[in-house]
Amino acid sequence: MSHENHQWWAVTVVCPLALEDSVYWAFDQLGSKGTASQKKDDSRIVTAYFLASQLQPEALETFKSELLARLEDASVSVSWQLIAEEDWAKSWKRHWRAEEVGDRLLINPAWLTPPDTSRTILTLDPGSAFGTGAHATTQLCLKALEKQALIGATIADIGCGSGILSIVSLLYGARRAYAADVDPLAFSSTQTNAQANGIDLARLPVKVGSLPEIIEMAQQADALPVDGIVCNILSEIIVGLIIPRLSELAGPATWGVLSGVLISKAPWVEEHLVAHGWQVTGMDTQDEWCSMTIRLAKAAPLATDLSTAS
Amino acid sequence: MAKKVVALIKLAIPAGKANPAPPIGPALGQHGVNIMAFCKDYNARTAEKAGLIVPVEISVFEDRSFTFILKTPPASVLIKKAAKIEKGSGNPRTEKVGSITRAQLKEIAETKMPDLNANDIEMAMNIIEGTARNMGVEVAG
Repeated sequence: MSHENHQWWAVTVVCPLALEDSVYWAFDQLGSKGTASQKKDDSRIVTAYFLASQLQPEALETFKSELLARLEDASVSVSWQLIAEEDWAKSWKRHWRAEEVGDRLLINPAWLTPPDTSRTILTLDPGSAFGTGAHATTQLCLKALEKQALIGATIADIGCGSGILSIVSLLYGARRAYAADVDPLAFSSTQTNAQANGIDLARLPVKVGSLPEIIEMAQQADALPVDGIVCNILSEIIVGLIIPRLSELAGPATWGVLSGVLISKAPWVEEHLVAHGWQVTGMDTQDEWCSMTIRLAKAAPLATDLSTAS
Repeated sequence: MAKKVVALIKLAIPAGKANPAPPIGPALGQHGVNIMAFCKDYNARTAEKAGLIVPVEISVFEDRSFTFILKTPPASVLIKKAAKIEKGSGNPRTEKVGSITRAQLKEIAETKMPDLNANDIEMAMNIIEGTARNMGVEVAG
């Protein structure tokens, strides 16, 4: 069946929030299969869709006059327009393009044929709220990874999301990446994306959890200290939960890349890093975000307790 | 990581039955949201509520990724269930098709409270009573 053969009425009612459920009911009575709504100032814009072949314009006129009479609210408006049916399961993809990040990487949506390129290609099938490579903090991490020695390296990825940072590390030649995220969906997302890039899952052990789970995995595999740490999480989490135990993953040669840090909070994060024996060896910025490259300081950590500082 | 929300879309759709047809396709497709991923996630999280309308509020981020939270069923669905009716009134001012008790009204208002712009339960009950009136359902007592 050709999708172009069908047309739909997109019927929109603008109403106060308190009348939204009444509008839903009116649409339900007209035979809708559901509504979509968005807030605009103090109003809701509620839209329902009806196959044009099943609803004549006269029926819409009747619907409008009955609804306006029923709701008795002068601010309510009703309008409609015809829209062509699309294959919506696929048409959302036209918003996506292959994207170059940094000097070495090209992120390619899974459904597109990658362009001819000398860059490393990362294939991603975007889904829920995990790193797709488009966000500044992810890009900062990806750029910082390009500057690290990754051939044969062991990586810890704290807050892995889609697994993008682990996968890119492995594509750049890392031997293994230990990943964890508190969101259970990240587990399947990381594995799916690893497979889409031809990565053997044995090279990317992933757990639901955070730093403690990564330490445990690496310990059991006798992989401590790791060579590199990537952590793209908000600075409050980095300071409160990550920094206090971060050195358990690290040795003298271990490097780390912290992103998800607002530029305005960078001094605060650095203060806590220093207090726990780390030094910031590099910083990069994009939009209002920054990434910090870190290493363990040679001197002993300060004893200062900064747990209440902000 | 705090990503910018570029659209906040609420869908009132049947639990466990999300598919790319309207309203989901046009509402999410224009923002580049992976519609099948949303449908799969929504259906997985609402599978046990089959037969109910379970609205969902979707936050679409600047990188076109999304999260969503489930909301309470529309008041009209709860009223219909409480009044044991299938259809509303064509002319609710003159034709009444059913009634609910004040206790049922309060129960519905309590269920809907998190999603209503109401300061207290009395205000929430007023909003729900208005919806019932628009459906041709009386509040008895």
